[in-house]
Amino acid sequence: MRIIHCADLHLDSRMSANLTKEKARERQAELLNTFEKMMDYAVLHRVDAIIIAGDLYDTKNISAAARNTVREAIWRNPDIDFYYLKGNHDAESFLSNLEEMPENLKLFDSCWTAYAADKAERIVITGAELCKENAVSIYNELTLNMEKFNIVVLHGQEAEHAARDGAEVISLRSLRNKGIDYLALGHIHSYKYEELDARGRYCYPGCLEGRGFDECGEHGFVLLDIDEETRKFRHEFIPLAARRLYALDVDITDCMTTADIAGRIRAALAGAELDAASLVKLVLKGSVDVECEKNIELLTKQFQDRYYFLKIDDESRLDVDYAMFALDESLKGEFVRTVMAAEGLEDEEKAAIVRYGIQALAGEEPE
Amino acid sequence: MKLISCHIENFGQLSDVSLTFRQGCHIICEKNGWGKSTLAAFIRVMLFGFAEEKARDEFKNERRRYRPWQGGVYGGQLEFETQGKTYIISRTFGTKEKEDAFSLREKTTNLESDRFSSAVGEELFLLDEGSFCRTVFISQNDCETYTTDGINAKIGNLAEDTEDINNFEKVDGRLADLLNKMSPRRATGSLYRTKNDIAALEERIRAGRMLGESMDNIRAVLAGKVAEQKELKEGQTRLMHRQQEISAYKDIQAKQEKYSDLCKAYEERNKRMEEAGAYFPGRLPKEEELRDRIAECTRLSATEETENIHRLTQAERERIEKLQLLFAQGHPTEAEIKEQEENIKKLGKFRLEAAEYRLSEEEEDKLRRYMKRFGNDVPGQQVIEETITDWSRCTDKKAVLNQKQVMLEMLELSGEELHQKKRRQRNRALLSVLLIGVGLVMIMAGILCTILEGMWVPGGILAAVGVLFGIVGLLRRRNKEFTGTEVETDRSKLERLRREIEEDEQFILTVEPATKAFLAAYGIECSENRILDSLYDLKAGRQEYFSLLKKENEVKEKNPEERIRELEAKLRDFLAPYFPPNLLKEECFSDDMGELRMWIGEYERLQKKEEQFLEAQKVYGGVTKDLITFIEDLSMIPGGNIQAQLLEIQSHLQALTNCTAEYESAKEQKEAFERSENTEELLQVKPVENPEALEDIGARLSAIAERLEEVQGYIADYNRQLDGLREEADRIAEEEQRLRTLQEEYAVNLQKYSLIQKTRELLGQAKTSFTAKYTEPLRTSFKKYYELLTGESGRQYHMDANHAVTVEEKGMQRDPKFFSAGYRDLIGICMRMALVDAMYQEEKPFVIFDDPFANLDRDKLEGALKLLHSISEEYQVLYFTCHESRMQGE
Repeated sequence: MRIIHCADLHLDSRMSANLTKEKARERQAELLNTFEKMMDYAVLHRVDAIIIAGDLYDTKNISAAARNTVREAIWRNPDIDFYYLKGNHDAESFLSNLEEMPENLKLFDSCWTAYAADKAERIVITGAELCKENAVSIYNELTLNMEKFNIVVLHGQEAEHAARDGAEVISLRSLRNKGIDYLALGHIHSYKYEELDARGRYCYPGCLEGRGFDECGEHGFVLLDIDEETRKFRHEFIPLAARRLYALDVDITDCMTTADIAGRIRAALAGAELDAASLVKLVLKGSVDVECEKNIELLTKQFQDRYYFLKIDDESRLDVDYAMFALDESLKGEFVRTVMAAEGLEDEEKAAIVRYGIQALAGEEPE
Repeated sequence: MKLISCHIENFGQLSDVSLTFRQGCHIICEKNGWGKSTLAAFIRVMLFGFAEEKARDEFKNERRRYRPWQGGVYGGQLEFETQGKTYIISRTFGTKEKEDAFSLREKTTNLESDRFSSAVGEELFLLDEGSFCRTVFISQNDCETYTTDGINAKIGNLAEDTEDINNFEKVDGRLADLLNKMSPRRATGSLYRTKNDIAALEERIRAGRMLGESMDNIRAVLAGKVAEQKELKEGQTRLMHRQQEISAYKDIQAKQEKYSDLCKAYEERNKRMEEAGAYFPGRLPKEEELRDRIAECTRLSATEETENIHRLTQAERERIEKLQLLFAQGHPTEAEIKEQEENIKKLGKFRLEAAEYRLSEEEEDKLRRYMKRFGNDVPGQQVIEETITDWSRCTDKKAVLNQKQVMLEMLELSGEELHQKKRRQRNRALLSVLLIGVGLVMIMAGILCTILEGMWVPGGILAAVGVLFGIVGLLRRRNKEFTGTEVETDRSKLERLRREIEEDEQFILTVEPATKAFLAAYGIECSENRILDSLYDLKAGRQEYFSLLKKENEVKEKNPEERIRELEAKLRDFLAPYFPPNLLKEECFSDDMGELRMWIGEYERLQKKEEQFLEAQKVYGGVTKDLITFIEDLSMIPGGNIQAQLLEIQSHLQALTNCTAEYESAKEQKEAFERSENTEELLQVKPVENPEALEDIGARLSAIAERLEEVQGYIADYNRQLDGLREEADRIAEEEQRLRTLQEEYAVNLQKYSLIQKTRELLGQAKTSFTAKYTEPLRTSFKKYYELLTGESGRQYHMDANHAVTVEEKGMQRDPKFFSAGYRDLIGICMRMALVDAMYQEEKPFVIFDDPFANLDRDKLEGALKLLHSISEEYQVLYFTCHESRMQGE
């Protein structure tokens, strides 16, 4: 039996954190399209069931397009069972708006609900939606038939212990040795597959598409191929995202000009060999002299046409060689010495003040 | 600190230059371009190393700028004394700093010293290279700048390539402007505006939160409507189920009624079929059989008609009887008639041939006359033709005989003339021989004379005359021969002519009587003139006679009359039985034969008609009998009109067939229904309890559908509202994003604002501290140098906290910029030296004056040189100038 495990699709996510309005809408459409591609994959590979482990939508205000895309996918594929467990972003609006509940849409609530995934009832999918009320008690209420292949579906942050008031926390410790073969989780947006106990594994498939630079790397879903007889299964991560996000550190230590920094960026991009469809964040690292001429706006313009999106975050430090100014009998030297001696200022602040002062003395606009 | 000496290996344009510096004032007077500034730079570099190492500008980057022009080792040595010890600095420079070499040795021991590092200048003066340069290097340009911008600015202007304290006010003002521009309190400040934007966005977002409540309310109402929709659909389903139940019972009722109808139809059609069958007392005729009989009836009518048509009329009866008598013995067959017709054709042909071959009367008359002429002796063709030839020759000979006789007489007369001519010719021949003989003798004599006597001329003439005689003799001899031949010819011609005449006369005498006798033998008598014509007539008559004889023989051989008679006899025999002898037309048998043929045709037609009549009469009788038998076989009594009776039977049979089919159909329908439905159960189905009228259910369903439509309208409407609100929520979300961005920007800019504020504050502090450090020492030193330079002690000058110097002139503090360039230079030099005094409290440096007195007039120059001497008492001074007029003080 083949089962897709996906989670954190966040359909209708606004995608507006970095992008312009037009590109944000384009990415929204791409997100829906990636969901359709997952459905195409399911049909092509004769998948029997799809587990959506929470956060199908990003908001309770679901657009008609997002609502219809999912509804049509469920109606269009009556041979595929959809096991949909709501996450912290999901709301009832999708389900309450369904005039008729499709037979192949299986839902969960705050109590454990179990479904036999195959006719012989050898594979059982059990799930529960976590909330404050059941955050602690839910683990004790889980009883599984050890003879079956048990898939348990939950949505929350993994932790060793349950949190009394943290509805979104999953206590792995409480789920060990319960007879779980595969713990299908959702909430963390990057792929993770690890051992739960001697019998089972747990997995976060991550989101289908990276949305921000905190979601870099490959994204997609997980395909389970279960042998009902032996209870053995094959697990494969299927990358599917239309675009990838990259956060690339660029060390600009010792650069003195914007041109020097552009050279470092060019070298870093050449080494990374990124696809033109990518979204890229360059993080300038290292330390530069306080008098370094550095124009981030110019650098951004210089490289932004190479990729779907590019931005530059300057996290480089300013180096002030105070010793160099110790014997400088000038106003600048006196100023640097004054700043160095000033109290109540952090080093970074002092560096910034020195830079501003030197720029001002040089007749430049402090920036 | 004192400079002692230096050796430059290579540095800029200077190469292998050694200098020993004297104490006090050391003047170097060289022309422009010698390398005075390079020398100054060398000294600085030996103490501090290169400045602007990272500059890309070739001029600013000193390592590149002073690279040896002529190559070789880049560097040199500098010897100096400090605190009583003499040191030698050796430096060589590579292309990069790390390739540089530095060594410091103490001169007395020549050992390397670690008293100073490579930053020897900084360690000596506690100043960096820039500050050192800006104090101890005093150039003309320095003075000018100084005097232009003011003493205070000049003191502070320790950075020549950057603005520094010189621009403090400007920098401070710029920072103030920037702070104003960014101010979070001023209405024009960017932070203030951002704050306002943030407040406005927050307000809109707060309002947007109400939007969320509205959406929740709508969703709640929508959920109610969806629930109502679900309830309505369930009610609809229930009613439709009841409707189906009642409809199903109605269907059963309909089936019961249908079954009842089928049974009734079955009974009724069975009865009708039995009634139709009663018409037939006996067996049922087969449809095909009956159809055949009716067809026979139809054919019977045709037979009766045929019978009437072929019955013989009275005239035909009489005629056939006559013909039967005529042909009692039978009549000739068609072949026989055709054979006789062939004979008739042959007879006609023979008759034509007989008429063609028979001799005409004229021909018979001619034949008889020829037979009489020739009898049995017909002359041969050759004989006639020879006779004609002989007669023609005879005629010809007779015609020329007279002419020949006249010619003979003429020839006999001319024979005498010829004899005389012959004699004259003989005489002439003798003369010729004589002439020839004389000629020969004369020739011989001439030759002999010539040969023997040598008498050429007489011999020659003699010979020539002899030749002439010979030629004449020969010519005369030829004439004699010609005349003899001609005489001989005339004689033979005469003889021959005489013989011819004799022969011709003999021939004529023979032929003439023979020819006449030949013609007379065939009874032809004619004149001599007509003999030739008669011979030709005889020849033609002979040919015609033979032709007529041949034709007569041919007629005799063919003999057509006999065959004509035979054929006429045959035809007469053939036609005689049918024609009385007097009626037979022998000249035209074909007419008789045509008449016989007509009779035979008529006889055969009448005979056939009689036969057809008898046949039709026989058929009619047989068929009528069969039909009656058929009707009787059906156990029915035959009527008068058999055909009408048969048609009636057929009609009844059709009716019975139809009834049977209807019966079968009804039976099949009933049985099919029984097969498809369990009729026993069907008849036992109980009616539905309290069945509502389907119309009522339909009305209730319509009401539900109407309400459902209404609710669906609400749902659609709420969804539309939600979509609209969602767009608004999206906008709010975008504004939230914008708010976050603005808040981040605000925080960053506020931090920047705060830091710039702090920058301005600390810059002010630095400026105060920097200037305060030098104010009093500067004022004292300035006073000393000013008095020394100008010799004026009473003149008032003032220096404010910012080291701005003013000079009191005529009761007013005046800015030096209102004074002359020379005076400004003086003030500048004083100020610079005051600065040196102030800055170098411990280790006194050397001071370099790079021709700073160019603007001074003679009076001021003297003061300046005095100042130089005064300075050189305390400082080692290196004074570079390019004009001797400015080195008087040495």
